[in-house]
Amino acid sequence: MDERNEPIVCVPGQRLCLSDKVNVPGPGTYEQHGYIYSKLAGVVNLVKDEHKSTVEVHGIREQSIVPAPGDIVTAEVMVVNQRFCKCVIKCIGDVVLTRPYRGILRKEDVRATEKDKTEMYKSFKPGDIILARVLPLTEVHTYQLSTAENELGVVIAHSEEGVSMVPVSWTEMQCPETLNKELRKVAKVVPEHIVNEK
Amino acid sequence: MSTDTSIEPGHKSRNDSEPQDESANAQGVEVIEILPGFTNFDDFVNVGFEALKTGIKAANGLPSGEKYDYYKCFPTFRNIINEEINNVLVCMQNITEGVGVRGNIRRRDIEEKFELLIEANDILLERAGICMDEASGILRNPDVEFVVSQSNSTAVSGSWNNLSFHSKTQQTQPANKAQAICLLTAKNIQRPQLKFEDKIDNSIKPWQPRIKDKPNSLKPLALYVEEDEDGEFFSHPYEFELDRFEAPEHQLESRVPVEYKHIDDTSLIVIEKPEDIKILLDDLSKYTEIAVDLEHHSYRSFQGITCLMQISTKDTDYLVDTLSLRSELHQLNEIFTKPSILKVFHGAGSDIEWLQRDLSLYIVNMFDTHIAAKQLNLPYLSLAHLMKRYCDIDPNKHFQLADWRVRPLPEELMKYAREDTHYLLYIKDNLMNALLEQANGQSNILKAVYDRSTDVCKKIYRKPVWSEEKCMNLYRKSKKMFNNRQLYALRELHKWRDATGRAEDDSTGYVLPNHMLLNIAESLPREMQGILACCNPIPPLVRQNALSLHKIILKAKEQPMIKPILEDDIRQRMTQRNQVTDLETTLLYSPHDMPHDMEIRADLPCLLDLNSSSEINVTEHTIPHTVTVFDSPPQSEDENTAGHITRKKRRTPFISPFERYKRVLPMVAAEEAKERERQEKEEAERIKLVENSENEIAESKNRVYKHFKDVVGAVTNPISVQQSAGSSSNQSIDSKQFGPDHKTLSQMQGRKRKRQSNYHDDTKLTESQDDLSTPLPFLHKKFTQNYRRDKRELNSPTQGVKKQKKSYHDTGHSSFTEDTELSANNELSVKSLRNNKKKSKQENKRNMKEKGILPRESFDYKNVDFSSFQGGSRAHNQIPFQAQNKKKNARGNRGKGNRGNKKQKWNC
Repeated sequence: MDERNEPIVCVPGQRLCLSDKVNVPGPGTYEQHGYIYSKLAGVVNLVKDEHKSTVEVHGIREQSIVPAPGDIVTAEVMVVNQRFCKCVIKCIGDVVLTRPYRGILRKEDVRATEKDKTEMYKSFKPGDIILARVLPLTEVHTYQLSTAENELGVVIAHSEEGVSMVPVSWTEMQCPETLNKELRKVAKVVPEHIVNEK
Repeated sequence: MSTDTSIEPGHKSRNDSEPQDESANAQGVEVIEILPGFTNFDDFVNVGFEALKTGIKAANGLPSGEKYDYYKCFPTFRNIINEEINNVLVCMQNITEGVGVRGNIRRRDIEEKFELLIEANDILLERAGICMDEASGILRNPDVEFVVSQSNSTAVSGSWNNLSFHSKTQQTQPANKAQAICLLTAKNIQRPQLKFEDKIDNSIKPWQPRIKDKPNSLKPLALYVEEDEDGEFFSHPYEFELDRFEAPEHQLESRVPVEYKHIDDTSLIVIEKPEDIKILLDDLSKYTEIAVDLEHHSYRSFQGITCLMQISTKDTDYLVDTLSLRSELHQLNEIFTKPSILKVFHGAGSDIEWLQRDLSLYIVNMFDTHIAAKQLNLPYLSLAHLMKRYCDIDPNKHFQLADWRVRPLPEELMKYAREDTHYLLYIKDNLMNALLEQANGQSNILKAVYDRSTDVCKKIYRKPVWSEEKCMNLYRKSKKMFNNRQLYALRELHKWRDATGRAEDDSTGYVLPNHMLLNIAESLPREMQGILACCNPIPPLVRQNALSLHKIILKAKEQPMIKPILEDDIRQRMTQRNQVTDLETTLLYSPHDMPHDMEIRADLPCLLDLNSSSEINVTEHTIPHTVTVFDSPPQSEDENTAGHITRKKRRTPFISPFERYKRVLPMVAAEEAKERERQEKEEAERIKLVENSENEIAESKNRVYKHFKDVVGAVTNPISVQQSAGSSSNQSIDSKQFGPDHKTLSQMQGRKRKRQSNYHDDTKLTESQDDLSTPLPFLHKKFTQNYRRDKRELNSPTQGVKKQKKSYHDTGHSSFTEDTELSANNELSVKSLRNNKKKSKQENKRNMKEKGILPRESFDYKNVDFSSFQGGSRAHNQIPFQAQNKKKNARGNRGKGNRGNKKQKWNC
C-alpha cells in the first residue's frame, strides 16, 4: 500500500484486503475466508515490518495507551500550590489521549539542580501546557511527573492578556503585548515559527 | 610465711569462686535436667551467685595486714585459720581433680598452686565455650547433630535462648506454640546435596530424565530430544500412556465418602531405609487410591530439592525421606504409574516436576483436588480451606516454610506433614461427589477434571534458564526508572547472580535477594564497601565476591550516559492492541455467514486494493453552505478583511509541544556530541600543552645552558667581580673589554650592581618560565663544576673561596635567582683568580680587611649552603607553576563561562 495523505476510513465488516503472508490481520480486524475485515469504524493503519505488514484499524474513541515510566507527556497545569501542582495529561508522546490522565508534579521534581530553591508559583501557573517525563508509579491514582531536564517544562503559557508568551530565558517568559515578564520553568524546545519555517 | 598465709585466704576464696561459677555454667549447659533441685538454669545461676557472694563477703571480712598480725598471736585463731586453709585446699583439690587436672594442690608452693588453678580455669572455660558453640550450632560435627536430635526444639527453633521458653510452653499450650513459629530452620544443617549419589547438574544443558526402567508401560521406554522455542528438552517417558489414559469406571461413580480415621488412631510409618521401600510397595499395592504430597526446599539449592514425600492410604500415613532414598525411590513408579491406582494430589503442578527431577517418578491416573475445587468455583482453593470445609479442621500452615532438610524430623513437622495427605482422600471423595452433582449426575465434568489432571501429569521438568527477559521482568516489577548504566549493572548483576547460584548450588535468593540487587544497581556504589552497605544482612556470597561485583559496577559506571530513547521502549505497554485475533475469529465464526455452496474467491473487491481504488472514491467536495448565521454580513467584510488577513498571516499553524521537543532532541544530541568533541579536543590540547611545556623546558634549559656557556666564554679576561670593586681601573678595563652587554656582570658589586643583577635575573626568569622540573641536570653539572673548582681552590688556600663566602654574606639572600647569578659570579671570580693571582692577592687582603672576614684554614664543604641551590630551584619553579595554575583557572573559568553561556545562549 502506498502512503496516502488522507486516511482510509472503513466501517465494520468492510473487506480490507486478502490475508496472506504479507498482510496480517492486526487489532481491530478479523479474518474470514482468507480476507481481512474491519471490526471497527475508524482509520486503517498499516504497520510495516521488513516483509510483512499488519493491517490495523483504529477506532475513533479507542484509548490505546497509558503512560509508562519514562514517557514524555504533554500536560496542562490545573492547580498549583506550594508543594506540587496537579496536571492533566493530554498527550503521551505523539498520541493524543481521548481520556486524560491525572498527573502530579512535585516541587522536588521541577528542576534538576538547586531543588530546594524551586518555588512552585514561580515555575508554573494554572493553564500552562508543560512537557514532562513520567516517573515510576508509586501512587495508585496519579502519575508522578518530572520536569527536571532542560528540554522539559512550560512550553505554552498565556499572559493575563490572554496572549501566548515568548520565552526569554530559562526562567522567564515575556508577553509580546504588554512586555510583562513572568517566571516559569521554561522548556528548551524549538520555537514554533522556526519549526514552521523548516 | 605469715604474710603468705595472710594473702592466701582472700586469693583462694576468689580463685575458688571462679571455677565454681564456670562449673556451674558448664554443667548448666550440658545437663539441665540432671541438676537436682532446680527447675531451670536461671534459678541455679542465682543460687550459685548467692553462694559466691557470701563466700567473698566472708573472705573480705577476714583480718588483714596489722590486724592479721595481731590476731595471729592467738593460737586459737591460728588453729582455726590453718584448719580452714586445709578445708579450702581440699575443696579446691576436689574441684581440680574433677576437672581433670593432675597434681596435688596441697603439696605445692603458692606459685604452683596458682598455675594449677589457672589450668583448671582454662579447662572449664574451654568446656563452657564448646557447649555454647554446640548450642548455637556453630560447630559442625556429628556430635552436634546428635544434640540437635535429642531435644528437637533445639533443632527447630534455631536459637538456643528460646529453648527453655519453648520447652515450658510446649506442655501447657502446644497449639499456640505451633502458631507462633513460622519459619523453622536449624543453623547447622548439612547440605543434603553432598550425600546424593547423582551429582547436581546446574549447567544450562537440558535436564535429562534418569528413569531406567518403565513399569506399567504400554510402549517401551524411549527418550528422545524435542525442541521448541525455549530450547531442547527430553520427551516425557509416559507420554503415550498418559495420552491413552481413561479414568476407570469406578472412579467416575458417586460414592459415600470414606470417613477418615482420627489422626491418633492412624499408624505413621517413616520410610528411611532402602529395605523399607519394599514394605511400602507391598502395602500400597493393596489400595486403589492413595494421597501424595511433597515437601520441597529451594533456598539452599539452585534447582531445589524434594525433602519429604507423604503418602496416605485410608489406614496408614507414610513419611518417605526423599533425601536419603533419593536414588532408590524410582521403584515407586510401580505404584505411581499404575493406571488402576488413583493418586490424589493437591496442586500437583510443581509436585509432578519435583518428582521427575529428584526421584524419577511419573504419575498416571491422578486427581488434583485443586483443579476440582477450581471447577466447583469454591471461594478459596487452598488445601487449608478444603480441610476446613470438609473436615472442619483448622490446619496450621505455619510449617510450610520450614526447612525440611532437618533430619531427623522434629515431631511438629512430622505431624504437619502427615496432615497434608491424611484428609486428602476424604476431601477427594467429597469433591468428586460435588462434581457429579454439578453435572446433574453426569460424569462429564469429573472427566474434564481427570483430563486436566492428566495434562498436569504430562508436564516436563525443565531447568531454569537465564534470559534477559527475566531480568527485565524484575525491573518492570520494581517500578523503578533506570538509566542505561543502571540497567547495564542490573543485567550484569542478574547474570552474575544466576551463574553464582548455579556454581554454588544455591538459590538466587540466597546469593543476592532481589531487593538488594535492585538497590545495588540503582545506587551504583563507587566503593566496594558501598556494595556491602546496600545489603543488610550481607549475603555470604556477596561478601565473598565483592571484588567481582565491584568490577561489574565499575564497568557499568564506565558506560556512556545515553538519554532514554523513546523509540525502543523496553517496557511493555498495557495496550488493548495486543489482543489476539484468534479468539475473535472463533467467536465471530458463524456457519450461516456464507451460503453453503459459495466458493471462496480470491478476487473480491477490497478497500485497500490499489486496482479497485476507484471503488472507494472518497472525493472531497466543498459545498458552499447556505446557512449564513455565522457569516459576517457582506458589507462589513471589506472593513475587516485587511485585519483578518494580517492576523491570519501572523498565526502560524499549531505545532504540538511534543513535536517541538522532538525537534530539539537532535539539536541537544548534536550539542552534546559537540561538547564531547570539545572535551576531547581540550584533552588533546592539554596533552599537547604538556608536551609543549616539556619542549619549552628543554629549550629553556638549552637557553640557560647557552647563557652560562656564553658567560663562561665571555669571562676569559681575568677580572674578578670582587676585585673590580676595589680597583676602578680594572673596572674600566672590564667595561672596555666586554662591551655594554657584559658590563653588568663585571660591574657587579655594591648596591647598584646587586640591583642590576636582580634585574638581570628577572629577565632570565621570564625566559625559563615554563621550567617545571625540579632538578636541572644541566645546572647541576654546572654546580659540580663549581664545586670541583672550589676543591681545586682548596688545595691552594686561596682567597677566591673566601671571596665566595663573602659574596654569600654580601648578598645574604637565599633566593635562587641571586644564587644562580652568584654562581655565575663565582665562576667569574674563579676565572679571574686563576688569571691574575697577584692582583687578586692584594685585592683580597684589602677586601678582607675591609669586610672583616678572616680566611679559614681549610674550606669546610659542609658550610656551603647547597640547600639554597635546591631551594632556589624550587623557588624558581614555583613561579611557572603558579602561572600554570593561573592558566588553568583561566581555562576553567572559560569553561564555566562557556557552560554558563551555553545555558543562557538559547534563551535569546
